[in-house]
Amino acid sequence: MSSEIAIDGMGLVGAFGTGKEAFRSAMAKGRCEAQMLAVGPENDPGSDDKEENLYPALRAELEGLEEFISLRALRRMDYFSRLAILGVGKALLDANLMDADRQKMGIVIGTGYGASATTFGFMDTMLDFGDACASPTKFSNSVHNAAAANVAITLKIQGVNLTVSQFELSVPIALQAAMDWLKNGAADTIIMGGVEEYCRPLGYCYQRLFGLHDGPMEPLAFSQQTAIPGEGAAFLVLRRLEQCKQPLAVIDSLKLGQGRAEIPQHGKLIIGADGHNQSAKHYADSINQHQTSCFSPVYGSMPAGAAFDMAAAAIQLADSAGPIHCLKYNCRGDYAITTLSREGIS
Amino acid sequence: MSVVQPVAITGLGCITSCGDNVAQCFGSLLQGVRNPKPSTLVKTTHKAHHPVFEVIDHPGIDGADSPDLLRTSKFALVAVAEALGDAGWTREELQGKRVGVSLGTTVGCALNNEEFNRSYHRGQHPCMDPIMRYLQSNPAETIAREYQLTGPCQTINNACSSATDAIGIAASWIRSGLCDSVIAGGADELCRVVYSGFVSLMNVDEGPCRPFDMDRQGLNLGEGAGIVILEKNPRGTVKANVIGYGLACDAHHLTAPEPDGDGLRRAIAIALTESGKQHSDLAFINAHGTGTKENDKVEGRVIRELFPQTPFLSTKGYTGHTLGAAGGVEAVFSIVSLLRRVLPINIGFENPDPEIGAVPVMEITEFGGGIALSESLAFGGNNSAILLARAD
Repeated sequence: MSSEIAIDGMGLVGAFGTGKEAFRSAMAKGRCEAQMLAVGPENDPGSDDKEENLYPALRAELEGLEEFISLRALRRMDYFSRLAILGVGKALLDANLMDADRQKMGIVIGTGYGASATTFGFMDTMLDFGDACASPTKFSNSVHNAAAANVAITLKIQGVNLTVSQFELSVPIALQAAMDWLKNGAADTIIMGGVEEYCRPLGYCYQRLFGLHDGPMEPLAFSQQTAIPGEGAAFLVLRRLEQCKQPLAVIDSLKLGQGRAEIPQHGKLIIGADGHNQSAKHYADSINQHQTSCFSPVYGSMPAGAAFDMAAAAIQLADSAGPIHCLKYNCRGDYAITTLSREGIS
Repeated sequence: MSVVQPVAITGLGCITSCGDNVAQCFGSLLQGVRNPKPSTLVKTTHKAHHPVFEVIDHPGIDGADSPDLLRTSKFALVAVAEALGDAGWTREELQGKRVGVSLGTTVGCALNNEEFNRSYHRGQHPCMDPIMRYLQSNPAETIAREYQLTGPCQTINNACSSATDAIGIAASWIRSGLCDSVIAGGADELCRVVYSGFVSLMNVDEGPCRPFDMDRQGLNLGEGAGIVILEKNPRGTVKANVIGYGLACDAHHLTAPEPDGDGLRRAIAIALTESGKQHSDLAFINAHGTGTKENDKVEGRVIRELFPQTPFLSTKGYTGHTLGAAGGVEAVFSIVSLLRRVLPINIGFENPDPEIGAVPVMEITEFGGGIALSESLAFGGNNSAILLARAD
């Protein structure tokens, strides 16, 4: 059994739209335009009209969900799960695996905030209608693994199923589990990725913690706080290389560490800096002479952004020999370096 | 899949409503003592006061220290301290070592602070302390920060199977060489939001829970933490080994198990394949056994069909359902049972359910075998099975 793990397809949803081509176009442009959304306290008359209660966000554009789920089932599906279902469904289509064996197929999701909108929505039902009238549907969809569960139920994926929440390192650590399962044969295919959703309270927290924001994301301006919250889903179909139909990239290595990241000299670099100055200093310390890209202005600031960076690397490798190193830091200085290349792909 | 290398467990730590440490908890189990009661922490307007298994007046939890941490993280800190001491590790000895942290939780990662939401929802500007507390309280990160650990760190949110998955994946970290030791298990806290959520699902008993009993009415919630220390090259006493782990999804329903228990069967099969053991090698099964109609029916039937001669029990009658901590607490209980070669009773059980056709342990039982299966079935249809073998 090969120990090389490769990306055989991807499904992407975000402010750039849906799909690999939409993401590729946005990568070329360098950023997506944010919407100014009301974030002030809810139910405060006139609050939404005040300019100081607006904050930018990169909301996703969902297209094509009906290809994977009936309208009837969709009515009961919360937004967080919809993002995940669309991302996973598109990934399976891209990899031409819609008819593959689902018992040896798994789902591994990294998410920082989980189904936050549904969680706040559930608490609102308690507030508005009393404890006894709390919504059971909202509660069962508010748990962090609801998206992974709804994906499994909708797409009949019956193998391993895992949700990891480690803020900025959610996706790299999810990748570690996925790779271990593929290498030991517990699964033949794992759709691994990240999902985050925007919600009004999240925007409010950004405003309270970081102040008014009236400019674009500038993640390479390391001393400045320019993060704009984003939402979306990025999923990669991971398989052992010999099983891949049209591999986009091989995952050469995943390195987890702390402090200054030792990035291999050879190759290009994609950094996951996303406008938060607390983690920015770590990127500034680690970048050397690599040709460096940053795509967070395309998908926004989100803990699970590393999944989009991996997708960007795989897309870039279509025209480049590689390797490409994806670097993601949290504010504590813990990091992950995921290295992708086309080594072994003919 | 091939047989995997066993991974040593050298330390245990536990805190639940039935004890502040492993010895106290297991002592309560052997004495058949449990103390579910209405919560002092969770006040609701529900007509019925469903009993919970609450940790009360523990200085490490309710004291003034660490006001910036969620209760879940405090439970984890207490249990980890015990486990590390049990494994013979000092803080200083951990420095510079490749030590990872793999914990499961449910409430510990949820942004569900009511104080913040109430104020915001009603048009006011809330205090941001709850948000800062949430950002500081990722359970695995809390442990890594406390002990200045630099190894891999993950918090798993697989609902009720979180801690079992955390331990199973931690074992794979050791085997793959990612690190040399892992602090693994789970922690969770009682929470008004989650309490109301379970009441809304109508699967909570208004009395003490009765796992596998014919008249069972649902679960009771609990809180606490269960921690094991996994080591690649153990230098102290090895208490047990992780010899197999399996995870499979029903892909059936968000809150109910698949009626034939297909996912559970596959998870058990994977764990047995990894271990190289047979069904008949098991000394006992620590079941998920929440006390709900559907879980116990499905799980009980699977146990009856696959392991007709193997004693089984649920320990949730002593601790309540500790959600993301359950798999860790039950792994600890399973290991202590293996070491002491004794099983407590499945408290709360009186009358067999003909729909299950199996009877859990009803009296203190001594046994000679050395392998235990601990199962966890979760919201979302996850089924996790872990095999633990006594070190001798």
